[in-house]
Amino acid sequence: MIFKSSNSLEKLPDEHLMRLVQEKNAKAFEILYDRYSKLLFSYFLRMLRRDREKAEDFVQDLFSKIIRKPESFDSERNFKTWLYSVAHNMCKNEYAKHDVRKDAHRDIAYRHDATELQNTATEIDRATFQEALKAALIELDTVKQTTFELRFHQELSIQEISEVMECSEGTVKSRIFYTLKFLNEKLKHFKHIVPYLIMILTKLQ
Amino acid sequence: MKTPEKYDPEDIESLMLHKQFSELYPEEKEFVLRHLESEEEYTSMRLMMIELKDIVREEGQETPDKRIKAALLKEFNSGEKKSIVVWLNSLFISPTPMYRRPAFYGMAAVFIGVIGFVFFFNSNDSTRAQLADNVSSKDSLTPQALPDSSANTFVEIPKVDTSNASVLPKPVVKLAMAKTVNLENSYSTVADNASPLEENAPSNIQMGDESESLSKTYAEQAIVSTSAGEIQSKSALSKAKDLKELESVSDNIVTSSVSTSSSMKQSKISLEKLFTAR
Repeated sequence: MIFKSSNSLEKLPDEHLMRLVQEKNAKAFEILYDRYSKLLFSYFLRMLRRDREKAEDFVQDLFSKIIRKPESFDSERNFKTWLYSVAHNMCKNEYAKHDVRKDAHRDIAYRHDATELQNTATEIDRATFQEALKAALIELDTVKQTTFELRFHQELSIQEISEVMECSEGTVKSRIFYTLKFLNEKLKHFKHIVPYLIMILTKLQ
Repeated sequence: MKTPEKYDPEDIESLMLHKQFSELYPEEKEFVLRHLESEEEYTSMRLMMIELKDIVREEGQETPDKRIKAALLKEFNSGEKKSIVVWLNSLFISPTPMYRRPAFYGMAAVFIGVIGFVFFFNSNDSTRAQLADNVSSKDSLTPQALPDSSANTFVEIPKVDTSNASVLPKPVVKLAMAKTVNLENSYSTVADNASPLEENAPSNIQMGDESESLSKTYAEQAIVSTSAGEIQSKSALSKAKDLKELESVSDNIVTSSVSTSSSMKQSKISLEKLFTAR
């Protein structure tokens, strides 16, 4: 086997690193962990109602799966979409186990919904807008929330999302569009401050 | 007629991020207004999306506990060693019953292998073949087969070239012992078959025929010759020290067996005559 320094390994694409992981290369595994652990942790955090402990467990479980069964990755596939597919399925299983989404509105983390926040329009600031957005996102069904998460937080392409969620690209596009429409409706009371916020941001930049 | 869509809803997302409503081309405006109610809604959604992107950017990515990485790397590095340790530990500290421990599967397999090797690969092939021959010749000596001319109590001792051997090799001694046992069984079978002839003979005497006494004599001769031959053969075979001596003993046994066989045949013929005459 040709020796590769850690510097040269860091430049390799995910799929190549994964092949090295299959050959028991610890450094390749470490690089893959560094590339995706934060992304996946953020993904799990948002998908699991910001349960930090559970999100950490999920990250560890996912990478443990890679260690135990590296051959389960088909080297013909895109590693990123494969990884998010596994993560997505883990969340789906978790929802099936605990029926998380049904209780979402009653959950402590986001008990206050968008309408409550609208009443405090006088105190509006960026933080409350963010909270309102999070509360609105909670109201979405799991599928739309996942699509939104993958698109806006994980910045996956439409094609990648369709692979992860095993549906057509058209379906993904329409889900995103209706999610945006829904959020716009939910946050319409903030619309007068949004241009103001953008202006502030522009000045700050 | 409905015009086919040139844009996808995804394109609205792209248009919103990059263009104000006033900057859209007429066909883009037409497309946008097919999905949204008004210019106002477009602007509202556009601002929300820009804000959304900023929020996402600000939120950034949270970092999981560093201990997770350490634990995973440890798991990765100890992957192969771990299985050996677990396997060996199963010998001593496993709570499962002894017979269910993986280490014992291997040990049992090795034990069976060794036993198999000793029994099947350390023995003489020719001896096993000969023993198989003996079984078949014994089968031919069933009481039903005996009255036929094919019935034969003779067991052939194979010829083994031991001219260079000063001492009789062990397999030959084993073979001789096996033959003795087999001959003993054969003679017993002959004797068993001769007895009914003897029992039948007195009833035939009552017929007053000359051949009655003749058949009785033959039957008696057969029994005497069988018993004598059995004793002689056993003694001679057990005393035989080399192959030549074994061969001569076996020749004697052949002679004796032929004599027994002819006595039996004569007895059979005379009895058949008696029954025919009757």
